[in-house]
Amino acid sequence: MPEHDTFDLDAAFRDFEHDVAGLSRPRGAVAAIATARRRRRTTWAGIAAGLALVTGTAAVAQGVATRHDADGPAGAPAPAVFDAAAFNRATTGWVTGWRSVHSADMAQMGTFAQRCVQDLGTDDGASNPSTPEAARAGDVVLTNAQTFSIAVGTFFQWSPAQASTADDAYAAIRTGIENCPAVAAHETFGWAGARGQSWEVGTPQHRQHLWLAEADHGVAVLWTTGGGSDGIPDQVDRRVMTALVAGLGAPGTYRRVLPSVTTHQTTSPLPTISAASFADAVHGWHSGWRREGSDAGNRIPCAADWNGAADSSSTAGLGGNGDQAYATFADPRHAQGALERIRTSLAACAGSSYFVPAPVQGGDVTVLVATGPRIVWAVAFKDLVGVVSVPAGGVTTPPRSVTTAVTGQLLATMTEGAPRGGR
Amino acid sequence: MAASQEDFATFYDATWRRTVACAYAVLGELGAAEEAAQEAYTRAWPRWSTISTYDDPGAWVRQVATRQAISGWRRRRTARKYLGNPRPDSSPAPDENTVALVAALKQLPEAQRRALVLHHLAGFSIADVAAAERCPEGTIKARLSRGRAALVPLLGGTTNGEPSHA
Repeated sequence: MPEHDTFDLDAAFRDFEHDVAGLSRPRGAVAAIATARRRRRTTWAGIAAGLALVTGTAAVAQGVATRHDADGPAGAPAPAVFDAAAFNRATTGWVTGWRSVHSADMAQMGTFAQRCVQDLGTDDGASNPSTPEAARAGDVVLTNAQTFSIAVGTFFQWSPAQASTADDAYAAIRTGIENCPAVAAHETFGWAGARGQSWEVGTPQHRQHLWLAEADHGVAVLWTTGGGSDGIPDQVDRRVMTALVAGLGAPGTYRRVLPSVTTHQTTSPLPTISAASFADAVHGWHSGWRREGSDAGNRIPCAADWNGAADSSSTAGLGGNGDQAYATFADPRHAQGALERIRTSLAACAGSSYFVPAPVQGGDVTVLVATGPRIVWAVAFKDLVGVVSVPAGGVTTPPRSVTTAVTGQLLATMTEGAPRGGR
Repeated sequence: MAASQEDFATFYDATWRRTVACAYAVLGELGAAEEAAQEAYTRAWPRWSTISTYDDPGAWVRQVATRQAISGWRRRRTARKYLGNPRPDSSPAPDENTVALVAALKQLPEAQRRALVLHHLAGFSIADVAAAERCPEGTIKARLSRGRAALVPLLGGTTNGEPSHA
């Protein structure tokens, strides 16, 4: 029950509610049902699942502001493949240093936006129309070692005879995005034969960015994390959109690196790094980790109580003999404290010798890598901490590329937000 | 009408007034509050088979309506900034206490206003508000405390005296 001051605020609100009841004009449940059904008919399952890849993570509606100072109509950018090089050029002055990841796992990515998927109607296939199959599709997955960011783009293109499909898909996705929680419109763009819109997603503490573009009877969606809390510079926003539009017209953009979108249907209650994703991250590095098997459960060695002060936490196995754990703390200071507990516990680990160098900090991200009988990656980001532990198998320090990939996956999983527990 | 639609209609009728009140308390505009509330029910219907199993399905709708209200309020604020003229409010005249409460709420920071509305009007526990707002319970308690401290004088009361609000 609400707490009470000597001033009876509850009574004031009760009076208020009573007064409003006499003023308001409900439109009725029938109207709500009709509107919901009308929206369902414009749902595009395939595209929406692609969008699910790139939206979400947040739960509090932040509003959708619309700006109309968009680019004026002009010739669309010339076709150019959208890849790491293109994105690095576009993000110059903001976040650079992106590199391609050859594959990632949709099941992991899919957890980014379970809530958004529901908003888009993909949680109920019964009302989805038979979406025309895209003539071709492509994905781009990029990670950034300097900022521990990730960018994921999805491209769909239909045949010229199905150009209206792209129009409808664009509209449906835009509506879906604007119905998603924690999305705020940033900019709209227009060219002759092409258009786009960008949004900021999440909170200033966990800011992400989202772009939607349509050109050449295709649609592209791009999602990124990182870039600091100041927001994306307008010129970078525009360059990214330009690169997306250019990418839609370039055949080389349409290469799939992600599994089929249909795998998205398998989402877990809490986000975790899948064995497939982790296998990609450590590809070429021979540790003691096994993808198959059931020997998980060692958790984080010598640091059993690292998350004792967490508001919420979760643990899970990782492949055959790895472990992962996540925790949300009251504030970044407590998260840093947890990372320090992991560090000191590993350094003092009885019966095992761990080499635990000082954590590396970059922006809001602190990364700890410990080596011993197991390799431990621990990442603190704002009020979140994520840890992965796998058997070392005789190897020592993992290469930087592996650490970058693993910490990138940890960050992506952590910022999905589900370890916060509650609802 | 199918059984689930009938259930939903019953739910709608039973919870509408509180839902629209929550949105109104946030927005201060009845028409916009009705839009936000209706949107919440529109979103509830596709999920009704799940929401109807909740202990308090109305809480879900009130939370969505409150968020919609905040979202809508920002949209209108942006639009007005561009258009340079406020939208006339054609709603019926509310009670003077309602006017006072809405006016007072409008003077509070958004986070405090949302916390007060969710807690005192939507009936959320502090833990539920914290979960909805994705912040620690201590933060919500602080917002409620500050919000109340700011609101009560605006309504003509005192924080340590007798209530003076009608």
